[in-house]
This record gives sequence, structure tokens and C-alpha cells, in this order.
Amino acid sequence: MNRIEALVHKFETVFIQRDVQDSALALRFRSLFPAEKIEIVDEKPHVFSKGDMSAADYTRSKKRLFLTEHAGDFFKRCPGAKKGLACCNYFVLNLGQQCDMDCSYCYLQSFLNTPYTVIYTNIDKALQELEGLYLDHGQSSVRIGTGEVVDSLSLDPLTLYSQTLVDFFRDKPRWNLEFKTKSNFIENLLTIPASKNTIVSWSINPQAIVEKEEHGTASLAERLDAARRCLDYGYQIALHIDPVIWHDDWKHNYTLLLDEIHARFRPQELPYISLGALRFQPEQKDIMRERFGMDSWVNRAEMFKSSTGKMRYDQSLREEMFHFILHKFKTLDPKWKVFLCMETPETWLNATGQVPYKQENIRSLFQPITMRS
Amino acid sequence: MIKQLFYTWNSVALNPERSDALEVLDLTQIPIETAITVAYPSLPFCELVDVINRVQMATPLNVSVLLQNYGYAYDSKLQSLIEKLRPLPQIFWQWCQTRSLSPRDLFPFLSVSDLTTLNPLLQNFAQLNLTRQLGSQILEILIECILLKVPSDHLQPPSEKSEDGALWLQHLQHLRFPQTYSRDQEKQQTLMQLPWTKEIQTRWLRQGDRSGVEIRFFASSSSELQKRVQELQNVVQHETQLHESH
Repeated sequence: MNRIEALVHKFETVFIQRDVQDSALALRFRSLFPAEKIEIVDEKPHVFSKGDMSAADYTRSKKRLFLTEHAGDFFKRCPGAKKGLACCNYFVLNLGQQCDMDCSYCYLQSFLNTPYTVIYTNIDKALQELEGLYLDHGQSSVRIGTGEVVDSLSLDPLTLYSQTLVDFFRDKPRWNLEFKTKSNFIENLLTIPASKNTIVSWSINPQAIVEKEEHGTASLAERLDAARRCLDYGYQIALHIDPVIWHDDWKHNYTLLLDEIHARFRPQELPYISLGALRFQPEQKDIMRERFGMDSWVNRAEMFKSSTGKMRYDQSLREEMFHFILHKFKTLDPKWKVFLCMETPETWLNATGQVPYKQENIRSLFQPITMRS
Repeated sequence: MIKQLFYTWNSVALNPERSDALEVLDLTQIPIETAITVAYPSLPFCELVDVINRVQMATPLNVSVLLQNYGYAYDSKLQSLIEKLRPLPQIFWQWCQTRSLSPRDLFPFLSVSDLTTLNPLLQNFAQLNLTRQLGSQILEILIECILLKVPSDHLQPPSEKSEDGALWLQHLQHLRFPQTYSRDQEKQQTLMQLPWTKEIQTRWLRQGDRSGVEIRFFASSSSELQKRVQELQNVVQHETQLHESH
């Protein structure tokens, strides 16, 4: 089964809003999916409430697709841009919501309230929005990611959106487009000319965590292979070791991961590696427990409410894990550029000895910029 | 004096606890969901669940509309919860009603596949008659400990006295967060070895994801304050030396 066939098999139903049934994306889906899986609808399907979904409904939402237009703004600031957190000027462009993979810790479990996976058909409007922002902020150094509420590439064999985005950003040299994925679906990127301001990034974790917590994702080796291919083809790549998850063998498993990275890449080949510890909203606990049980290392974790309201590991444990990983990177090669994601300046200070704004190799990522809201 | 009425809808007793009232009012001409809100203008969540279960045995009911009438955003998570709560022991359920527990307090039950296995523990729990805040904190940790397969004899409350509720919570926290507890203990031991003077009281405290030392002293004059500060500086110096020697 090829990638497209596998995705077609994965989804039980594709709902298409009647207004968009002749859009380029809808026409493509209608050609890829068998007619019995397609349903043209006038209203949003299966919506009987706007509140929280049950565990069963959430699981089902990964099997149903809904193609529609997005009415609001496509572009917004990363949730890390909050008082009390050290932020790295990251912006997000949402071209859909929900993910076809199923990580136990995924924050979408407490974020989404629609019982289907949405893909927006009006990417042209998103690009118009970006064009307008570029007129005002084209000279600022901005990173724009597409992987906040949907994986950037896991559905790309169906949408082909990656190619449209790469081409759009190609002549905007001070802006960086970042794809963030746990898949290895990079073929569409390798059939167009590479662009240096496109960063293809992977969230990675030791294979033991991939198997235990990141259900339906590509293996660590597949992700790193895909990263190597993108790099060799001419894209920038980045790695996010996020979320770092404590478990009995965490030191051994993260050592294996770092050794694997070091064996496959040289520090100058990656602009940065970000590091973040497991975190989630308190209300997410119920659905995670119900869906993944207490065998999950995420559900077993000793988590406490932090000053930002999220559940986090004890601060000293976070510092210990960050310190271990940072030290290991430094031992492998001091030129690795690693920064902490969504962490307090106190944790930065205790884990690295400095706040990010003072660290020579990553300072540029943390220069604040002002954007019109 | 407010007249108490017994309401019926198509022969279904809406508020049977008022069945001895002198006046009976039949509300069949309005929808059942509205009739229930006439019989009970306000209802805490747990009592509402009882009404839903009772009325549903006699006549079909649009639960979504009814919950919305009482200000709850009806969603599939709430629907699952209402279905899940049916087998809870009566004594525990009465405590939930007395303390007006909200859906959020009860959501942890969603992760237990068979609630009847909790009955003995929940009966002991109910006898403590805890406050809502303490009780709901204990409930969540208790459920997690059960799911983590902690033997049930380790999970029992220390006594039947409600004032021991805080002790029970602490005991359960130690079982649920053993590594954090042991790290805190270690830090506390280190803290106690520092050269504190008897005028300075200290204790190790956990506040969410952080733990640290709380320091208390009393100073009635500037010279006394300076003395305490000097004593604290000595402690810091000692701690730094210890740290460096390790």
C-alpha cells in the first residue's frame, strides 16, 4: 500500500462542505477517495454540542475528515509567547486541525471540540493574509510554523500543501517556513526545487518513547532518515526533542537518542535543536487516562500544577533532565545549538547557567519583535 | 409561606418527595424538560443526574435540552459521565450531593472501567464527610492509585474522622508521587543539617511544581533584624561550601 492508499484506507468518511466541493482540494479528494466514503454536507457534520468530546468521540474524530473553508485569521502567535515564558518569535499558520497520529500526551485532546479532522480548502486566503503581513514585516526575521494544531506533513500526500507553501516563501528570504512533523512524508518536498528558508523539522524522542507513547507515528529511524534526505536535498532541518518524558531508563534512552543524532548530523547542519519537557493542561488528564491508561509513562508521570497553570514535572527534575541532555550534547560537540522551549527563565538559568537572551549561540532566536495584532 | 406543590407530567411524578403535598399540578401541556425545571428551578449537578435517571425510567427525555436548561454545556464527555455514575454506592452519592460536586470533580471516574470495584473504598470515603475541595482532591489521587494497582489496604483512610482527611491526602500523595516525595525528603534532610539558629524557623514546602524552604523569624528592632540577616548569610555561606565540596 502506498502512502496515499494508506491514508485513504485510514479515514472512514470524508465530509465536504457543499460550498467548497469544486475547490481544487475537494476535487483532489473526490478523485482519491472511493465515492462511498465521500459525503457532501450543508452543515458541519456530527456536531451536537460545542463542549468537550468524550474519549470515544475524540478517537473517532481521527477517522473522519471534513473539508471546509476557514473563516477567521489563519496566522497567529505561538502559545509560548506568554508572560513568564522565554519565547523564540514563533508564529503559527493553521491549515487544518486534528492529527491522524495519536500521541498520548497530545494537547489537542483538551483543545479540540470538533468530532472530525478539518482541512481548510482556502489556502489561497491564508497566503493573501501572509502577503499582507509581509508588506509590514518582510524585513523582520520571523519563523512561521504550520504544525500547531495539525501535523505539517502527515496529510500532505493528500493535500500537497507543502509545495504551495514552499513556493510562496521562496522569495521571502528573511521569513522562515517551518514544517513540524512526526511522519516521514517528505516526497512532495523532494519533487520541487528546495528552498533555503524552509525548515523541515521533526519532533523526536527515543524509540522506546515512540513505541510507548507516539502511536501511529514514524519510527525514530524513519524520521531521522527523512531529515537526512531533506537536508541533502537542500532544505534546512531542525529537531525538537519534545516532550522529554521521564521513565526508568530515561538517561540511557536519551543518550541513545543523542548519540544517534550526533552520528547522523553535524552541528552546523542544524540551525537549532529545541528541548521541552512534558506539559499539559490539568483538564487533559481525564481524557489521557481514559484513552491510554496508567501504563502510559505520561499518565504515570509525577506532575504538578505550575505557575502558568500547566501540569509539569517538579522543577528540579526538569532541570536535571535538561542539564543531562545539554551536558551530553556539549560533550558530543560544544557547537550543538540547543534551546529550551516553553520554559521559565528560572529553569533556563538552573539548567544552562544563563537566560537565553545571553547565550551567544542562540541569542538571535530570542530577539523580541513587535507584530501588529 | 411558600406553597409546596407536587408536580406530575403525563402521570410521571416529577418531584416525588412532595407527593404528600395538598396540591397537585399536572404539567403535561409543556415539554417534559421544561416541566422538570418548573418542579426544580435549581438543581446541583448530582441531584440533576438523579432526576434524569428517575424520569428516564418512566418516559423518554432530551437530556441535552434539560442540561442546557440548567446551564450546563451538554457535550459527549458529560453524557459519558452521566452514564458512568449510575453504579456508585448510595452513601457516596449522598456525599456528592451534599457537597454539590461538579462534573469536573467527577470526571476522574471516566477512567475506571468498572466502578463497582471502588465500592468498599468509596463507602469508607463517604463516612469521612470531607469538604468538597479536599474530597475531590482525594478522589482523583485515589482513582489514580487504584489504576496504578496500589493494593487497596494501602489506600484506606487513617480513621473515620473528617479531621484526618488532610492526613489521608498526604498519605495518598506519597503513594502517587513517590519519587518527588523522596526527593523532597532528601532536601529537607539537607536543610536540617544547615546551621540555623533557634530564632529562625524553617520548613520545606511544596508549591505546585516547585519546592523550597519557608523561613520565618521575628525582629522587633533594626539591630535584631540585622542579626537575623547575618545568621541567614552564615547559613547561605555554609550551604555554598557544602555544595562546592560535593
